[in-house]
Amino acid sequence: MLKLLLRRLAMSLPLVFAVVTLTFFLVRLAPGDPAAILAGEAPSPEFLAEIRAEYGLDQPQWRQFLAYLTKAATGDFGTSIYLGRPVFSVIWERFPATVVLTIASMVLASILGTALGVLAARHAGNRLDTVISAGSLLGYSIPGFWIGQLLVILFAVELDWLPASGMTTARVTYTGFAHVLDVGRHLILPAVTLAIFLLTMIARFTRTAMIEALNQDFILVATAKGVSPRRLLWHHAFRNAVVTTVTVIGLEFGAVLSGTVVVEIVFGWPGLGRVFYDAINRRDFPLLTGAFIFSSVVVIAANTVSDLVCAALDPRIRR
Amino acid sequence: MSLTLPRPALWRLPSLPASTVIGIALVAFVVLGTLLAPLIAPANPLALSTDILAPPDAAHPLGTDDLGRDLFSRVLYGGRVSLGIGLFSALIGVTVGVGIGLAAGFFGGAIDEALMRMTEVFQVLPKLLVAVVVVSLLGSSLLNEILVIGLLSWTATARIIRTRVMVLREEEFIAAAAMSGASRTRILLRHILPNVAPYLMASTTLQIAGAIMSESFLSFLGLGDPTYPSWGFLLQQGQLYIDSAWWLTTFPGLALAMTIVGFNLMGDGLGQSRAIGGARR
Amino acid sequence: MTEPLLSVRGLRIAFPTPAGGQAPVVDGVSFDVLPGEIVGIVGESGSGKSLTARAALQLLPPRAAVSGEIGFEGRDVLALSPRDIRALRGTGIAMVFQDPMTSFNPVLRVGEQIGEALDIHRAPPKQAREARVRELLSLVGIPEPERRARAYPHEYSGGMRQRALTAMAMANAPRLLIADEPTTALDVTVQDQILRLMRGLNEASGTAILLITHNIAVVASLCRRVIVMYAGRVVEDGPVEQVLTAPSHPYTQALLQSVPRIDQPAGRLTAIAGQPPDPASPPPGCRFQPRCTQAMGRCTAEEPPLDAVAPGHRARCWLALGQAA
Repeated sequence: MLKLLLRRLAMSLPLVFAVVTLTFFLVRLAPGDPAAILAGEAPSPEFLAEIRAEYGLDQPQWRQFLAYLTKAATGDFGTSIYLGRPVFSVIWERFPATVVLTIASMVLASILGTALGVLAARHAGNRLDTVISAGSLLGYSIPGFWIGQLLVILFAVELDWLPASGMTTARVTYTGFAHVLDVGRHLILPAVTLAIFLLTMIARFTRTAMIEALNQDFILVATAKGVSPRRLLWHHAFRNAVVTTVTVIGLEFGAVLSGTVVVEIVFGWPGLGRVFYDAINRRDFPLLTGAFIFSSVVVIAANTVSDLVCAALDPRIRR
Repeated sequence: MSLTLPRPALWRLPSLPASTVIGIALVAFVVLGTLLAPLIAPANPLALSTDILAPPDAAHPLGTDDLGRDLFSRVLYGGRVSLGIGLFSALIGVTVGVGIGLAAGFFGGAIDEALMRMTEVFQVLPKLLVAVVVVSLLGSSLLNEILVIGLLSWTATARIIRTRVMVLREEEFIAAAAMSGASRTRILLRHILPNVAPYLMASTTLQIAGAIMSESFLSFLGLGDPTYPSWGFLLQQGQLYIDSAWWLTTFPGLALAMTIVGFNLMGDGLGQSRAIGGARR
Repeated sequence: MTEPLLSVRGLRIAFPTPAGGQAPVVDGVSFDVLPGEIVGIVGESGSGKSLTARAALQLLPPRAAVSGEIGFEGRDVLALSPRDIRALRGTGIAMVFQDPMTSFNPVLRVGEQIGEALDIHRAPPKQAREARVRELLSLVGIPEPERRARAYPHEYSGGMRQRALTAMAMANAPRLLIADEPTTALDVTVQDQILRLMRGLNEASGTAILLITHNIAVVASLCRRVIVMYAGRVVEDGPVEQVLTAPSHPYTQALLQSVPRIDQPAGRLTAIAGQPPDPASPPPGCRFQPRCTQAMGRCTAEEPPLDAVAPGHRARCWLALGQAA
């Protein structure tokens, strides 16, 4: 297991390197003077000079690249133009809200998606299967942020059951359990919205994997042993299909994290997604590229974790 | 128990599953609407009026926006942008995917290894965030959007084509062509490419759905080309008035959802009718 | 005479055809297995031998229409409730399948899967279960049973897996072991080991064995009685020595000629010409008649009954019954 972990890390590090490199060259590919891009709109000549010095833009390209790499490796993504604070501290401050949102929706999507996928596989070809399959096609075809908008219109604006925006109730400070409840109430709509895409992907691929597993010889052998149908489904078939489920979660994690950007806008959720949105609209490029590199590292790490979980679940992958 | 069906003649419509027919109908409906926009639209989509944020009524079937512009007309013309970006990005994505898939499958060995590693890298990257950064830095324009979305969405096609080519490479008629002295390029273009063509239909259709979805994401974040407002762009504006003007969000989103559902249904159906398993991966 | 352990009477298994009809793939099959006996069923693939075996544990897919009777220790297996048939599986009748590669669940340890067979029926305490798993593994000749029980199926060789599969089937000391092509996927030396293992189990524990195979040579080395099936029908049955040395049915004769033998020149080896019939539209008369080199008038007009050609030896052939005219 340790060997596998090391090998996975050896594969992930070049990826992180690629992301940082890509970002470096993108900033230089952008039309105009990189210093002007990094300095934001209408900078003073002094500020431009300062930026040039800070980013070493007066140095040769390869030196700049080395400096960029070294800084990125230590978590130094420069200073946010608009906020005037180190990019990393801005990201670190907002990250927990995104973690809460992402974990809530992934838990929801994993449980419901798996249940629906297994249910559809057990009734493969029946009406229930058709309904679940159609529902999952709708789920991954409809943009998540629009579903979020509709939920806001319905549950917050029209019915007024749940808050439309934010993570906590404004102008009221709850503490302890009341605070958790308050956040929970605010979390319901965005978590459901974000969960839909992953949920439908999980349902779709779990269904396929379950149907395949249920048709394997070892199911017949286990039946001949006297194993009950329920145990066949969960202990034998699902133990095989769950590897696919975990792989899907890993592969789609990037899409989920991208999804937080739009979902956080729709629900005014104060997370990393908002950082992206604000950085785009304020043309705060150090903040934008920093948030991008940070998110990419999170996605790559999540993929590594999902690979390790798969290896723990399937002895044939461990080698 | 295998059934041998007679090959359907070209002039006869192949029998398609109901879901595929629904998909084709949805796509046809949307495409016709946008093509005939000048005939259908009640107003110029840019024409301002004093009728600001009006709910749907007889004069404005889908209501008006914050500048009094007719939403129905804006949705019709917005469809041209969304569909256009979807189509062109998908074409780029499929072309790149076919190129990489053909090369990897046909040459195999180290080339295959390198290309597949690259495909894995692209699969892991958070594509939409890459697109956000690229468009932010290089500027919002139709061309940039099309290029970015296209160049980030070739992995599925590349994998399918690679698998197909590897199967084909083992078949007799390819070996026969090689034996009769045909060059590698000729075999690739004359024998292998025509045989993977059927798979491209399904692939392209699914890619269009994905590309329209990605475009709406970028536009919703304010990265769409403001000169050509797409459905995602309209939804971004709708967000500003979400607690007062539900129509601004509901209708552009409905058009978007219908279109993507349509293309996905079509792609799934085409994929299955050609017996392509798991065309989406 | 002893009561039969397994008694199959008029078994018919039919599958729906795409045209909407029913194709009988097993048609009117009857035979007995006595306690402690080793019986072989031989036939080509598609003869219905595997389906017959699966019917004995209600393991056929739901779309299969099954009629007739399968008696086991006096109870009709086909009429058992889901709960009762589950209780019978593994304890009364156990099965070993053809492909040891795919018969084990790849994500569960071998010991766990053998232990599961014990758990289902008697739920022994953990230590007793593990001891029994080790005992079973050494019984089938797997060295280092303690370590092997903790290994995963992919860490086993093909022959080892077939041994472990046999151990799993023997876990609850079944009265009947049905072995469906247990040696087909293995190479010759390993085949021999598995067959010897089965004979040993039969002698040591008195478990009756019903061996399903397409390989008549395997039957010769293990069984006391043999049943030959063709196109869903029993065409010949009797004691092994008689059937193999003096086969009555032309199909059995052809099967024997298609087996390579050391004492015969290679040139004598003949494959049976033609294909088995489509179960949806069997030929008129004897089902083997289109491929039979000795077919004559009556064979196409009327199907022969399965009748005695010698004491305890039956055949379904006008020629063998002396009624060809």
